[in-house]
Amino acid sequence: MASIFDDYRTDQFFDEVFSAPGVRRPHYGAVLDSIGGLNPVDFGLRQRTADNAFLRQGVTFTVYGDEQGTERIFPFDLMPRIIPRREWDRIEAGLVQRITALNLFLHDVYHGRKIISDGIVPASLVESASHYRPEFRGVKVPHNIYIHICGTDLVRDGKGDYYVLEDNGRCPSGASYMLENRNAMKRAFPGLLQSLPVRPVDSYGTLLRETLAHLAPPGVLDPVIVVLTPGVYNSAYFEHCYLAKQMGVPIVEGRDLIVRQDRVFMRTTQGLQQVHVIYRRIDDDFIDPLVFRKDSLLGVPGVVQSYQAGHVALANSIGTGVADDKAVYGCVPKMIKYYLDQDPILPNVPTYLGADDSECSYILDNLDKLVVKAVNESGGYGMLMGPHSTKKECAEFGERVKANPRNYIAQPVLALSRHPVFVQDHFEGRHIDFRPYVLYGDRVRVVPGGLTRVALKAGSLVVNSSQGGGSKDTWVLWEDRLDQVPGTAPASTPVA
Amino acid sequence: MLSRVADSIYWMARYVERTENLARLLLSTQDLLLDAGAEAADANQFWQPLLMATGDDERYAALYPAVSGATVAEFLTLRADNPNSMINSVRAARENARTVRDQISDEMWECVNGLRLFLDSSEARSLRQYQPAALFERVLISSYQFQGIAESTTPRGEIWHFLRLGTALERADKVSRLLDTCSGLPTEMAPHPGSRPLRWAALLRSCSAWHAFHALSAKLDPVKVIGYLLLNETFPRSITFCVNEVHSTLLALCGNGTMSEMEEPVRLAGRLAADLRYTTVEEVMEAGLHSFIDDLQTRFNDIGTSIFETFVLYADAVPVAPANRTTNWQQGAWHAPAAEDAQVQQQQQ
Amino acid sequence: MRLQVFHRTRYIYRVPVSDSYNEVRLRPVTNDTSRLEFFLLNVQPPVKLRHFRDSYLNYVHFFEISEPHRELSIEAQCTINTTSPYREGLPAGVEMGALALLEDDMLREFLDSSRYVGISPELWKLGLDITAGCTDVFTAAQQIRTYIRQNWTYAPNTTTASTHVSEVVESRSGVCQDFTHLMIGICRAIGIPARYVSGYLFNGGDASLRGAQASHAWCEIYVPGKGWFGLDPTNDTLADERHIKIATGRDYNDAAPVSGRFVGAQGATAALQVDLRIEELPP
Repeated sequence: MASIFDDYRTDQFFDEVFSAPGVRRPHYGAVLDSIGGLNPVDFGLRQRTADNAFLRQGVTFTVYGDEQGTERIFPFDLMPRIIPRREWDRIEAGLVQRITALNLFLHDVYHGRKIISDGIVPASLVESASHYRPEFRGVKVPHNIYIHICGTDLVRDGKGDYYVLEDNGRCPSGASYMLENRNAMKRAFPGLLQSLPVRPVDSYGTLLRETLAHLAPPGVLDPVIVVLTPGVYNSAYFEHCYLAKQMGVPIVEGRDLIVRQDRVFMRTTQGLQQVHVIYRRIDDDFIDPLVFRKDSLLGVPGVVQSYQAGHVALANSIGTGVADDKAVYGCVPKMIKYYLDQDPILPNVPTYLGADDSECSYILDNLDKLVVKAVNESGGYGMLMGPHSTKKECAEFGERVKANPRNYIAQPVLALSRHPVFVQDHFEGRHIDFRPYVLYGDRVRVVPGGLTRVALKAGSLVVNSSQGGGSKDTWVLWEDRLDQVPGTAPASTPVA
Repeated sequence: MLSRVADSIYWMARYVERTENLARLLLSTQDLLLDAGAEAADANQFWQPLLMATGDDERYAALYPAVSGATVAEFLTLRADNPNSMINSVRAARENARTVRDQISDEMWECVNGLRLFLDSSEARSLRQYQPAALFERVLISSYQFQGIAESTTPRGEIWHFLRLGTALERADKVSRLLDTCSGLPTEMAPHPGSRPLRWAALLRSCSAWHAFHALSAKLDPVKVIGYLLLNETFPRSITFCVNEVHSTLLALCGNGTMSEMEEPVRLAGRLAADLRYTTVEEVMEAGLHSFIDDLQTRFNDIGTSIFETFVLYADAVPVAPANRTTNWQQGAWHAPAAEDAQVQQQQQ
Repeated sequence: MRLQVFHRTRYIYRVPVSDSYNEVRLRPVTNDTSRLEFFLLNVQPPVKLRHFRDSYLNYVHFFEISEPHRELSIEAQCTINTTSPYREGLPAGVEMGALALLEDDMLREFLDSSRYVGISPELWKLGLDITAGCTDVFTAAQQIRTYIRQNWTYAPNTTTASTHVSEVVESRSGVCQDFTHLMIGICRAIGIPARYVSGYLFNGGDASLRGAQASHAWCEIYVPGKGWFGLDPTNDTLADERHIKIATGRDYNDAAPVSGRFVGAQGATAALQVDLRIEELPP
């Protein structure tokens, strides 16, 4: 049978779908039968229908520094990325382990600092992290949990092994796209999802709400939870709204909240109403002009004092950025060993620290072979992709590294795995990564799915939405293979 | 409900209603010109009132040398630098909807977002040029859709009440402005049956009142038209009907307080409702339609202001005595900027 | 059966305590009938966690907290695949006489008295009475198990973690730990090697099964030539795939889930909260 995938090339990369040209991986079987049977015109039509639906629903993000269309849809590719159960079980175990260790690390860093006194993580590394908040030493946070919502970025290398690229323990975004992508798939291929053993992701809203409710001050049985957004002009405003709606809680801006006698209230048409839990999507720097950035108009004056007094809970806690720091990242395997007495289930990408003299000179000597990243930037900003840069760019970046070595780390360029992506009228391989979402309330839970991001430009390794990335729906299977779509069984199958 | 949300919902409803009224006004004026025949030679007498009704005559004069159908329609439809243009009203409705999209149904949001996407499209621009009626009809239908969806998906709580408040106040305001554009016209019955009181007919059409009025009266008596649009208690676009709606909605929002504890907006709306109820059209004509409407507009503004003060500024005045009362409260709702590039963006760095 | 366990033990102290040293046995056993897919131990305040394996091959994690603290939380999570050790039938057909021929030194300690289980003439007499006329080892053990269930009352809060078997014989009541000690005592008295197992019981919503709310305990007897087999005297059942085995030993003292000491005022422990949830996962 002719298939839309007949001319697909895997090149020299690890391809998620084909182990070699024309040889399918067993967990894609049924989907390839189903999608492969479509002609490119039909597939393109479904793709455009999905795009239009996103636009109509306003599933958009804002691009900063772009004078023109302030809102754009996050390009979406209809061919799903599939993770078999065996792989997922490992990812899930690895994430639970990692988030547990990161939380213990944060608890330790802001209290006993044993890991520092035992010489596992140098004090200088922690204290020089720009998101370290010495003001929060000794502050007790609810249930000793710091990172309640985490979006950890995973990649696969040329052999298909999973690696943790970075932990996003501040305000990870993208969960709304995970949910909306699934809805788009249901519309584009009605019936296909229902007939396959794909784990649902729609419990995310409920789980998120439970996670937040768990943080409420003791004695508050029916806490008032709000989502705090910087406002409609924030790039992730759609997501803030979407999550608020999924949870059935109000979305507020800083100006809607007011602190009186160490308690946080929101201004309502019926007067002031006390707020117990704030899911804040504002960075530490902006959350309270009395404590951090004085010029912030987005925050709530006094909210930090209220948090310290235990009258309101913040998710994520303040100061979690120290665990996000790309230099601290390199120490996570040591943390897992130290606090949990285990080896990491999901390994780190090998990382060279600019802070370390010998590693720094290695970085400077090999700029053309490495990815160099500023430790406190995210979203693909402030990085150098050595092999894809000119000599001049490398030299310029080298000067910046020399000027402030602590601020940079470097990693080898991974041959990221590729996945077929529909381009105009055929499929081509594009590099992808994966961001699953971890919630830590009563216990650590991983939603069986996540956001697969795609570098839409041929050959590009940058998947960030702000840099021309797109996304895919991610299907986590209950099983290890997808042999066929039930109901479309070949005629030779005996029927009971 | 959050005060800011209440404000945005109120303004979302007002802007949708404003858009609808504008579309209907443009459509009915155009139709009127087709009917007008010889009288259409002086088309300006039909277009000038539009500018008065939207309150934009000065701004228009600054931009265009003369009044003509094509330029007025352009000015009121897709011009970005006219804050009261249709596209800016739709944008404002949509921006307000966006800030409260967690509060309203997905269908409402998609409807208003879809309308904005349409008006920003090249399709809308080409329709505007070659088939303006089709453009206006499409806008009207979207507005009806929005109201219908709102009616059938909004729980009857605060959100619903603020939607109704916005819609009813905007409607009352627009109808009063339209009436005012006719205040200088003679109010005697037309001298002979053949003559067509075109302006009065246009007035009825631009309030969607043509059929309803004709069911009551076969003859187009201007005084009756004024009485109908001003004082009828059953027609949903009459001013009295809208004011009663505002009053009952405010009662639902505030509860039936005693006289002494009555909230300011309830008191203002109740008094206006009572005044209208016990007024006759003859009294209006005696006092002069224009000055009556002037007074009405002042009172609508007072009601609007007191709603804002009560529900949006309210919160700050309540339980604990504030040490230093914050005065830098900005209005929550989004309004079209006077110039497009004046939009200030605040964003996280 | 694929089971997920979440087990949290929290100690809350009235006044800060310090120099706490703790050993925990919370890692389920991996053997022919149970496969551990995932295990994680989360201790707060954060500590350096280490482990060793004791003489019964149990995993023992240990840690110390020297600085003052008011709360200690020990959270164990695991995912485990279990199958019943009895899926090929009961280990019947071994005569009591075979016990006398046992020469394995390793079994010696499971026949003698231990900390909480003293072999007394009373237990010996009880054992002979219960098993009178029975010649099969496994059947005899089952009779002892049933006899205990029929003649002892399940009564929470009447005994403590350090109640000796002699008190249990006296009071005719107790909890799973006491029932297990009693069964071990009777078995040993009549020559059947018996050991203590601590673990979890998944009751699948069946409230008549006791011991599912907290750590459970049952007994294993040695059937010559066939090995160790678990019997649950508290519920009068076989220890099957619903029983998640964590640690074994001569008695509670060897297999206690959490044991430790700290420096603090008399009666410093204000509260001990145990939160145990076991869920069945799709296979």
